[in-house]
Amino acid sequence: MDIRDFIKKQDNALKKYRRIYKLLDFSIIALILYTILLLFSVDQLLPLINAFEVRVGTSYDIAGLSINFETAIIAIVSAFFAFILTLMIHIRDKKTSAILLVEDKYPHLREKLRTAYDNLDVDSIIVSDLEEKVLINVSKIDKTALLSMKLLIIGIVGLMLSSATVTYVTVYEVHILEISTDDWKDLTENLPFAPDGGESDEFIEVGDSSDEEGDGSDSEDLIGEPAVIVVEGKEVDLTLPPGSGVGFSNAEDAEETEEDFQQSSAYEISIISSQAYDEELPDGYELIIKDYFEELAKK
Amino acid sequence: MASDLNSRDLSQTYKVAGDMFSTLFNEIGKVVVGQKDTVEQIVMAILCNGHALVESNPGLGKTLTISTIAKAIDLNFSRVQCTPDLMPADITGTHIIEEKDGAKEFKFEPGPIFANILLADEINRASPKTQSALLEAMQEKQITVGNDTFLLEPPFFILATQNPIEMEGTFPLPEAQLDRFLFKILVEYPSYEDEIEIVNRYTRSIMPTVGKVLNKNTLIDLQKLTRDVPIADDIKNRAIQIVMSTRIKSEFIEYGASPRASIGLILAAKARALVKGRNFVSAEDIDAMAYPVLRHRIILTFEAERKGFSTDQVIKSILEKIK
Repeated sequence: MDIRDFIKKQDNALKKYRRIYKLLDFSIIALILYTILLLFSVDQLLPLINAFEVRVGTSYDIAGLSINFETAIIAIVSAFFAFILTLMIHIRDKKTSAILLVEDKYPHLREKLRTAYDNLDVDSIIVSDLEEKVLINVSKIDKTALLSMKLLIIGIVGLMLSSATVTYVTVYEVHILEISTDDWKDLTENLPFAPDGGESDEFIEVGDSSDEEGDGSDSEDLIGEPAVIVVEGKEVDLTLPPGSGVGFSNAEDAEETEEDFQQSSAYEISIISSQAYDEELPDGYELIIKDYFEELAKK
Repeated sequence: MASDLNSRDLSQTYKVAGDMFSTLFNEIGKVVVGQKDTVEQIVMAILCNGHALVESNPGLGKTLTISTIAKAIDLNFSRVQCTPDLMPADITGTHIIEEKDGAKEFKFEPGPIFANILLADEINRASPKTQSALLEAMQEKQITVGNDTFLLEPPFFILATQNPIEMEGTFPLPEAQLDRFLFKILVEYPSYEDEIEIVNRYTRSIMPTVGKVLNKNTLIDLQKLTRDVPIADDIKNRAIQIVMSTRIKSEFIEYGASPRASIGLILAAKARALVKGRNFVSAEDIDAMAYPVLRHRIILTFEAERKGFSTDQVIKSILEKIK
C-alpha cells in the first residue's frame, strides 16, 4: 500500500461515514419535526386547505399499512424540511478532506501527510524519506480511523429517543395544543392581515353615507357578477349611471344644464273606455253566455 | 555512474545534515554570543544561494558574525569596507598593464568580488555607482569589466551590512538593489546574560576562534537538498497569498513585494525546514521567514510612518489575516 491508496481508501470510507451521519441527522430531524407538528395539531389544519379538503379522512394502503392522508402529508412536510436542514448542516463536509481529518486525528502526521501526498510524483531523496516515514505511520492507521464513534453514538441515541417520542405522541395522541379544525378556522380568520377576518374596520374605506348606500356606479352585484339581465333574448344592462341615486342637489349647487327635449305630437286628453268593459253580446243571450262561462270555469 | 555517485553523496549529506548544522552552529557560537536567529538566517540565505543585508546599530557584532560564518564554512572570503570614494573597479577588479618578456599587455586583476563570500561592510556608504556594480554579480553571478565578462565561482554570496543611524553621507540602496537581497536581517541588542558572556569572552587574553566545519562541496550539496525539501500545496498557496496581499494598496502599504519575494519565501522556508531537521516545509517556516524576506520589499505609506508603524508590524498583521 502506498500513500495514494491509503488516502483513496480513507476518502471512500469518509464518504460512507458521511452518508451514515447524514442519514442519521435526516431521520432525527424528520422525526423531531413530525413530533412537533403532531403536538401542535397541525393535522387539523389540513381540511382548511382547499387542495387537501376532499382527501382528508381517506387512507392509503402502503405495504400492508393503512396510512391516513393527514399522517402522510405531515410526514412529507417533515421530510422536506429535514432534507433542507440536513443539507445546511452538512454543506461544509466536502471541504474537509480525508487528509486533513487524518492529520487532525494523528498529530504526528500533521503537515507531513499532505506534503507527502502532494509530492508523490517528485523524485528526490528528501521526498522519498518523507514518504517512507509517513507510510510507516499510516500503515498503523485503521480503515475506520475517520469513523467518529461519538457522532455515531449521538446519532443512534438521538434516533432512538426521537423514535420513542414519536411513538408515544402517536399512540397516546399527546397534543400540546388541542386545536380542532374549527379552532384553526377561527384562528386563521382572526389572524391580523387576513383578507376577511380580524380587525377589518381599519381596511374599510371611509366614505359618506350615500357611498355606503350604493351610488349605483358599480356595475357588479354582491357576488361580483355583472348586473346584466336577458329579456326576450336581449341583454339589458342594469347598471345605474354615475350620479343616479345621489338625490336632489341644492339649486345653488346644481349645475345648470340645458336639456334637449323633443316635443311629441299633440293629442287631446280624453277618457277612452276599455274594451274589456265594452261587451257587445247579442241581445237576449247575455245570461246564457254568462252561465256558460261560469260552468266552464267551475270545471 | 556519475549521477549515482552524486546521488549517493547527496543522500550521505542528507543523512548527516542535522549533525552538520548543529556542529556549525556550535562552532559559530564559540565566537558569536547569542544572535541565534541572526546566525541561522545568514546560514539559510547561504543555503538558498541568496544574499543577505544585515542591519543593526553599531557594535552589535554583525561584521564579526558574518566573518565567523565565512570562516566556519571553508570558503574564500573577502571584505570591502564601503566608503563614498570607493569605485566599482575597487570591487570588480581592473585591467592593469603588465610587462612580460619585454612586452606590455593588459592583464585583468580580479577584485575582492572574486570570492565565495563577499562582506560589503556599510554598503550604504558606497556611491550609487559602486552599489550598482554589485547588481550584476548579485543576480547573474558574473561581472563585466570593459568588454570582458567573468563568471564568479559558485557558491557566491554577498553579505552586506548597513547602519540605520548616521544617515549623513550615505546613499540608501535603491529598491531594485534591495529586492536582490533575499533577506534583510535585523540584529537586536543582546540580552543581559548574553552581554555578560560577551564581556567575559572578549576581556580575556585568549580570543575565541572558530574552526572550519563545512567545505564547499558539502555546502553545494546542502544547497541542492534545500531545493528538494517538499512543500504541501496549501502551504505554498498561503505563501503566495501572503506576498500578493502586500500588493493590495492599503492605508499602510505604498508598494508591495515582487514575485521574487514569493520565490524567496518558499526557498527560505525550505532552508529553515532543513536547518531545523525537518523533511517537509511547515506553516511555521513560512511565518518565520516572511519577516526577513518581506521587510525590505514593502514600502510603507507616509501615513504608516507618521503613525510609527514598522514593516514588521504590517507583516505581522498580514500573517494574522491569512491564516
